[in-house]
Amino acid sequence: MEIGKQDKTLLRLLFSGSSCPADEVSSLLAGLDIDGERAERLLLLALLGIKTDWRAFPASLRPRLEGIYRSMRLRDIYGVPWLNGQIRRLAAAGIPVMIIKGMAMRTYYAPGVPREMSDFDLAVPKERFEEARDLALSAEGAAKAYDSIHSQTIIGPQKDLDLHFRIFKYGVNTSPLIWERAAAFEYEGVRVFVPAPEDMFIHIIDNKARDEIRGEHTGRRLMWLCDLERVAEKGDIKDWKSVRDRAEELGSLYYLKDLLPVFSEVFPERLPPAELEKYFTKDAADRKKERQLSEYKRCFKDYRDYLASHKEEKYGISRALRALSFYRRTYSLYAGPDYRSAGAPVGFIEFFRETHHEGSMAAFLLRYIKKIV
Amino acid sequence: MYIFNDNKVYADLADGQYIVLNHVSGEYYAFDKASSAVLEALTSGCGREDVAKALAERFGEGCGADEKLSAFIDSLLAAEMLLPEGASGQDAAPFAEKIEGESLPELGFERFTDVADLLMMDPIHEVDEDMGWPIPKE
Repeated sequence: MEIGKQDKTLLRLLFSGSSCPADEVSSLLAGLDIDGERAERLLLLALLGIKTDWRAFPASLRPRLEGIYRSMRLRDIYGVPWLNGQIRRLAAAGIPVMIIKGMAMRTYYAPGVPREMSDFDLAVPKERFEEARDLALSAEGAAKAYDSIHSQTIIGPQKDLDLHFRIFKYGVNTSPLIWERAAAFEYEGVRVFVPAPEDMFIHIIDNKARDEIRGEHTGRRLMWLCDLERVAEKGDIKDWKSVRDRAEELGSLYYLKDLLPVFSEVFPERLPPAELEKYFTKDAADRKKERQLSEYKRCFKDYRDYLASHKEEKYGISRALRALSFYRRTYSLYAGPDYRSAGAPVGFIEFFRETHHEGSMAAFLLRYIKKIV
Repeated sequence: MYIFNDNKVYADLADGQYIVLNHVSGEYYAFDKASSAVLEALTSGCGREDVAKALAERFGEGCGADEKLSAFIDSLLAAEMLLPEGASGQDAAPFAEKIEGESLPELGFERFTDVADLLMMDPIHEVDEDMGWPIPKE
């Protein structure tokens, strides 16, 4: 994975504290085609505009950049009142609630910073999961969608809620370890948790690795780097040996080795190249995994291409299960032995019965696969 | 002082500007920085008189603080954004200091209906280039 020179400059300026030279901002904006630019980059440019009080920004750019900032903020809070109601219900029942992923950034690690969340993610301890799921589903406006090997998706009036009993989506089940170190804080009058800074840092990498492997969220190339830096700043992460050890414990060290070179390149003050080399250099076993993952990526892409090119085809459940079996083989390569021993994907048949009438089998499989990985 | 009417609205303050979502009616209210500073004061424990006094001290006795503040509060109450609550004696001066300029601007907010439609709008290509989202292109 590589990052362009201009994106690197944008991130450096955005996180440069008070110093932000006007000539560098002007140079960054030179030749900007706002109509052809990615929304994520425009949002980050808007944040830079706000940070610099729009100095060095051409007047013609400002209204639409401010507009995208407003729209992303509204997008983020859309559905939050319903989510807050869910958190209060769970807390009232004595169920510990951990806010994870984007909402953990929004509520704890970077409050007020818009980031375009498509859904909400909460985690509860596995032993309280069924109770929590039933409680969440009984809330007004909630409807059951699909369950997966790590969570239950609950459809909300504005956004979906993914209620997790597993926090990291592959490898061994490390959720109890994450609960042990979780940071507690008060949110909407109740005590909730977020992953501890190092765990949140690894969690962001874990999610980014999954997106990279699946070839998803390609329009979001920079937000994960911003999230990492914000978490590192808030958690004062400096001890990279400790991060390495924790990543090893959580089964995610390979993904840190794979993605942290980009982070170090953008934020060398945070993760100096010498520390990167000392703690996050790939070894022979990592190279082997790299080859396996590259094979998995190829299979996954082929599979998605196949589904995309057969959208209108109607075919039966036996073929669907064969396709799913193929998918699971490739997925187990990626996910590791814990997934292989997990048995049949949770809820597949139930989900099929409920939703197969909505469009073609291919479309159904794609929907299901998007939920289980 | 006042509190947000949590049964109907959700307020988000960032970079000195409020956005408020009415999750019952589906309306969205946008505030500029001056109105946001006053709204923040009103919902942070400052009484109405304290805010009026702080604005008068900041912008001068003839700035129309009483009238502008009264109209603003009335509009917030009419939109059911706020509920009255006993004041807690918070000093309003720091909030008044956040308002830039030599004279006190009009206080208010813009109201947009149907937030779901607004969020469907492409915030770059479907908006007025001089106004930005959520003002649609003519």
